[in-house]
Amino acid sequence: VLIDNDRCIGCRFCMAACPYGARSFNWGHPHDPPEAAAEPYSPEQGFPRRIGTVEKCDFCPDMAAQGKLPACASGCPMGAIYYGDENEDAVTNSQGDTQRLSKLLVDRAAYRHLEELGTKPRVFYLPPANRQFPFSGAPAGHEHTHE
Amino acid sequence: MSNLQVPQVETDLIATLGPMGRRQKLTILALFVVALWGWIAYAHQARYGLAVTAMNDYFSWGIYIINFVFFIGISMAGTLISAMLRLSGAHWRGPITRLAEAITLFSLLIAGPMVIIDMGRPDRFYMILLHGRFQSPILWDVLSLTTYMAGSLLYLYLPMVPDMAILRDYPGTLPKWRRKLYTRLSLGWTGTDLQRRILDRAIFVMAIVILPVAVSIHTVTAWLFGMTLRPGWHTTIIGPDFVVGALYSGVAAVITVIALFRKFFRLERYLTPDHFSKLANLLLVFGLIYAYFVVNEHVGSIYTNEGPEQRLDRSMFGGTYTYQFWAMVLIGLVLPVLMLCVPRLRTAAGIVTASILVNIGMWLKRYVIVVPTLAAPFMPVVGGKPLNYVPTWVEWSITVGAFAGLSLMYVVFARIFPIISIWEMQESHEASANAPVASRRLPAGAGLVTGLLIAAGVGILTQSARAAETQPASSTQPSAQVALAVVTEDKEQLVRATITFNGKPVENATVQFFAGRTFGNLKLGEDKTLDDGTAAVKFPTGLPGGANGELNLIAEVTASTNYAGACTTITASGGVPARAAVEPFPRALWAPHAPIILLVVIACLFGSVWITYAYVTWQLFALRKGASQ
Repeated sequence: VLIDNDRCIGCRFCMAACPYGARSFNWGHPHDPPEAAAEPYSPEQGFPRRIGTVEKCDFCPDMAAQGKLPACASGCPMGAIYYGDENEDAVTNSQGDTQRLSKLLVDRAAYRHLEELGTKPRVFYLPPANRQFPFSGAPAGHEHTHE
Repeated sequence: MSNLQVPQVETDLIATLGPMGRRQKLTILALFVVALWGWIAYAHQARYGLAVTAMNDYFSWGIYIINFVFFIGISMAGTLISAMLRLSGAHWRGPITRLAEAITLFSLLIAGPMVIIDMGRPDRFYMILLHGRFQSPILWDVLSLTTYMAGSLLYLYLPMVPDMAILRDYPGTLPKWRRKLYTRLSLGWTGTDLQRRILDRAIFVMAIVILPVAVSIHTVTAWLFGMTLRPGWHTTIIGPDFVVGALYSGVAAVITVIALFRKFFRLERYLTPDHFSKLANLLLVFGLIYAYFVVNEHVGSIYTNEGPEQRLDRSMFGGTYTYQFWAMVLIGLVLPVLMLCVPRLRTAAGIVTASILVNIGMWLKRYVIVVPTLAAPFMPVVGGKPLNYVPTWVEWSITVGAFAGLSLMYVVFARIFPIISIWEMQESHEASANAPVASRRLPAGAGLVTGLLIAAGVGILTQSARAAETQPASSTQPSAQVALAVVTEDKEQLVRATITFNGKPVENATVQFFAGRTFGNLKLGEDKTLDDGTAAVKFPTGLPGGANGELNLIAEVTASTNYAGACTTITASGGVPARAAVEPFPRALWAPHAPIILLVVIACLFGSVWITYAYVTWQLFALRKGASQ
């Protein structure tokens, strides 16, 4: 989902419509670091940011184009976030562990949020497995323990 | 009214255009100051961005959208009074038609800018014209709003033509610019039979065409909400709800404006208690229908108790939005309906009070439509606290300024043009009870039958799963050589690596096999080499490859430390050819291009309306020529 912040008129219809609340808005003047503000804008990298326009996690398409994992996946110290191209049927985490996507989703009983809305989200969650300690109080499913 | 003389009507109504009294001047000044304050607040917002509002990523819409829906709602007034009453031949409408039509035009002139005020980048409004997508309800709204604006301007102007001629020929003193303006706007009207026929026809055509346009604007505004996946918005009743809500608040707005004009322009002889009583009937009917709709809106979701709906209902019936919701029910529905039912309260004062309550209640209703749904997201809220939205001074200032601006435009209009149609009053006086509305045939419909067939081209993609033959292996490690090949043994496809060192096979080395992927290497398996130096794993079936199904296969020696790190990569065919999804988003409204059927529907609907406008405008030119006859 790319947003062209040179075109966005800031009507926020997409925000009101989003059942995931995934979008955010530059309500005021954004505070970009000077080096980011100096970059030429491209929808693929999402900065420099623009006042009065909508933003959203776009899975860092600029990094994907270089064959790199998005910032969240490569920065996760636990390797809990996998990322990949569904057309390649593979996902990789920050530890360099690559899994066959179709098998992983079945084996680990992956689920998606609000699948019943027909939005076809591309983020899958793997329920916790092999827990070695009692766990209560937190919403289920956000982390998973892969070595 | 029958005791009034024809010249008396003229004098009375033209008197409203005469020099202003002190009270009128003060009113206009006060309205101007408040409207100016609204502009100052907007300038502040333009400088610092929407951050000066109370809106945030949860409440992405706020008071501006509430106002937008409210002003769109009262714009129904003109259409209702003028068109519906005109077509149904209700003669009592005479003195109130122009008054109501003016509400339509001016509330639209406020509603439109409300959306622009809400935009993060109003400077890019023209992008809607450049890059607007027909599958977006935003564009439907822009189309519908401009069509409605043009239509209501035309519809306000048409019945004003004979009045312009009356003013042009008025023997009393008028400022020069006024005389000039009236002359120009009168289009050479002299009241010949031909001119009358043309004007009658044009008004009749407009009265018909404005009705579907009005329904469209309220429905499309509702669809801005209804086309989202949010509880409370994504309902089937939201379109009709907005239409009936608009009728309800439109009638209330007309009653309120009549009351104000009666008092401040001394038009008691024309705007009679009879008008209040007739309009009160309409208000009561629409109030009851609307109450019925509100019950329908909630009773299903209360009963089924589905998660997100339940959260929304709870916030309204006994949560964060209790006061707003129940105040809406009380002020907007229960009290006015009761007041209009009880004969003792159905006095002119009672009716006006009820209509003011309805106005406030319907504004609250729009609040209850917009805000609680945004406060009830599907996903858990960060921090878990119930969300609330309290507008800032900027938002309130702009809101109050908008109401002042509407009133200002209205008063200025009423100062320049007679707010009550002079010629229609004269005619109804002359013709008394004789209804001048002859039965007419409806003009032949456009007869638009769309017999469009959409041929869906299905691309058949053949998957070639040819068995791969070996390609020359390129060794990268000088220490040990790894030769990699895809072979078939016992009818089974294998990826086989042969490890040699100085030409001699290496036994018992652990070899891992991978398929290369963009972000990492997918492990296929591992094997130990046999005495002939070979290790093999099954060829990965069904794994997507490149455009022609080519796969990058990698073999790496990982154990037997002498040889570890020796690695080779080959490209082999046999993968599933990669293909772009034929239609990544088969749902029409998400597709990159608008479906043809949608374009056809939009073109037919708006095209026929604009063609009718063009016809009516052409009739106006004919009017000018008709003067000579």
